[in-house]
Amino acid sequence: MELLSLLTPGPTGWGDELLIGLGMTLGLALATFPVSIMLSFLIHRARNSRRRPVRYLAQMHVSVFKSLPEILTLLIIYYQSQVVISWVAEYAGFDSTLSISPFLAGLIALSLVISAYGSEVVRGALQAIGKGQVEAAQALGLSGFHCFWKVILPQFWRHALPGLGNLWVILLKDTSLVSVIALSDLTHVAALAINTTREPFFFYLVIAAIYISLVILSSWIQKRLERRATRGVVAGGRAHA
Amino acid sequence: MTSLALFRLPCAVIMTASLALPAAAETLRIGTEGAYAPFNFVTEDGSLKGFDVDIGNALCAQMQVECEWSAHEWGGIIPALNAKKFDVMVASMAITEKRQEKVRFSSPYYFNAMRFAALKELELDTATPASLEGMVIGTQSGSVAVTVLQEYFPESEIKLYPKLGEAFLDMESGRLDLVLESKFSIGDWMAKGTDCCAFVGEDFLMDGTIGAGIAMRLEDENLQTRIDDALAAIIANGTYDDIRAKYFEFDIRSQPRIVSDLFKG
Amino acid sequence: MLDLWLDYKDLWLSGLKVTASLTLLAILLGFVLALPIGVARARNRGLSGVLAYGYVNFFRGMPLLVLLFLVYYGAGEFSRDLRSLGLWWFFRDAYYCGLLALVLNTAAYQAEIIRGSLNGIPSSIREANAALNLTRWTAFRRVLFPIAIARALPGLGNEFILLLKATSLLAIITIFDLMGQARFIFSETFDLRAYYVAALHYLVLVLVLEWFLRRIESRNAWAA
Repeated sequence: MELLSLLTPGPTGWGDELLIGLGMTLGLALATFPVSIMLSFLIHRARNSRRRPVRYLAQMHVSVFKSLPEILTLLIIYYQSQVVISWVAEYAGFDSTLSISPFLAGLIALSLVISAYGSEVVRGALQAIGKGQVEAAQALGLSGFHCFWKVILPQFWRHALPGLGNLWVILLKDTSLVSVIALSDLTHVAALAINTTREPFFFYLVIAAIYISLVILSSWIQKRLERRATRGVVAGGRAHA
Repeated sequence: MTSLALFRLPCAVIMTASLALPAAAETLRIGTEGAYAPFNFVTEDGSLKGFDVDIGNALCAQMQVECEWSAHEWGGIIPALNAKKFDVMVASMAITEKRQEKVRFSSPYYFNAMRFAALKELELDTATPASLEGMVIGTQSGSVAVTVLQEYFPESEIKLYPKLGEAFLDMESGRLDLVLESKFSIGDWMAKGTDCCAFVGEDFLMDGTIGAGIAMRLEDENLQTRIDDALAAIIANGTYDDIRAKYFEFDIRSQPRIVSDLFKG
Repeated sequence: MLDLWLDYKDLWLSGLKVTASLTLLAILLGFVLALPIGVARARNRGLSGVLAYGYVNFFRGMPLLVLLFLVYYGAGEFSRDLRSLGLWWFFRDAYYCGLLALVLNTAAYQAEIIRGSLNGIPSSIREANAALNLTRWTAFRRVLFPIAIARALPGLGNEFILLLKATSLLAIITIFDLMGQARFIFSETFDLRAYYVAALHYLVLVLVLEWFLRRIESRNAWAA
């Protein structure tokens, strides 16, 4: 196949660039995911805060980032964050060449979006664990940190894994939007390759296949993790579901 | 271990891009689009190439500074410059009054005239507002061609593309009847083996256009002087012509006609 | 920000119209396509089960952006063949191509929602159908299907909102929806507020949609 020669690595093919693009896509998703999860916990806590303004802010975060198209969030973060940084630098009186890279802008924007959905996964999983566990831990005299680390978190994964797996897949696919602000991810590299080769169908089909494989691989890993997380749990033995 | 290797790349990206503090030797951060052949484009080996890139590197050599290149989306390239994502833009941007309100331009380094290219099957022999009535014309969003089309061709349907290459793809498939863009870019595209289309009508410049300029932020007056001096120097010592000859067989610094002479009255 | 809206009022309103029409058409056409796929997924037998499984995983596996490029620029590459098939009038139009990509995408998600609600119907209802001697077709048409749809409503409502947001990607293939207008106004004025104005539009649209969906759901006795 003549087309396949376009995928060879080296100076004449696009294989190596696509591989770097794949690395960028995976790197962005892997860097964003833990940040989103931590942010999800924070937002969940804020939504249950005793202080009303904190609660409102958290609620607003969820409503706004669940309503805005991801691409719009990304563009606003990309351009606005730079303006804010310049403004702060000027105010603080130092000359700044700090610049928000598309990677960092993508990380921030996608974390904001994913955490809006993530806070609901966290809520669902914690509800499934139930208050009784916390009360039991308190009765045993465990500190708040110990209670969270030793009692809640191990059970949390079991309940949260399906939701988290879902978020990961959404995130993986949403990284493609960063191509719009010129980060050389998989989708962007494909566009560059098409610019010179004029084979849009072939290249988009190739990267579609790559994304699909990644999603299938992810759900396989998720199933294995779920099996691990539920070991020792008697099927149907607990009436939480 | 593999996960470590995967992380290294993005980390390097954050570090270099977001924590780049002024180094000992002065570096000039230059931004361009990277999707505007033959002026700036990304090659198979992933590097930026083209007339703009060569000129930028020659200017850096002349000014004895390090060049640091980055690629940006055309639609947001002026905000990116003003937001200090880079300091100098060498991206074949036409100097217009509207843009001069936002950025400062060097003296022009060439004249990027526009010209229509049309599907051959249409057999057009002129490109006037009357002859293009009802036709679908494409160009790049945010380019000066948009203003020309809006002002002089209100009876044609205008389609705007984030990247010029996408307009060319739609021209080849026949979704567009014409493209209005830089005659050099169109020429470069047609030279790469398309026989769908041909130039039609004369080439022209926007009214008030002084040519394509190198842009910087409004407050960087000193930088403009330095760039202008360096530009004059590489034109005088022949470096400019050597670069030009690599891409074009003809002079690109002579001024073509103005659009209003062509289409008014 | 109001000045930016008023200056380009006609553009914003026409963008709003395009976004609304795309969302409505895509959700409805997507539902029509999703129904047989969802039923085949729920039955999960024979060739139809395999095909439905393939369809869902193919279209849910790739980003919508990639699907959009694949349909639009991919079809462009085959314009000669499409012309001889008499299909070019459809694929020539960016609006139709974008709509097709949206429909293919949302149908995969809606099919999974329909499958979930069909599989979630209590077995007692199936037993009741059998006891009443209903034929399989009658049981499906008069009992299972109405219940499944009622149970699927919250999920479908959610998909409605996701789809509304997803239409914004069509701006990249020259469609002047809300996002397309925002990009155009941004490129004309270099004014970042253009994106904030667009954001407000989407916020309001989603809020209205959510209110509307809540009203429907509150009348829905089968909501899970």
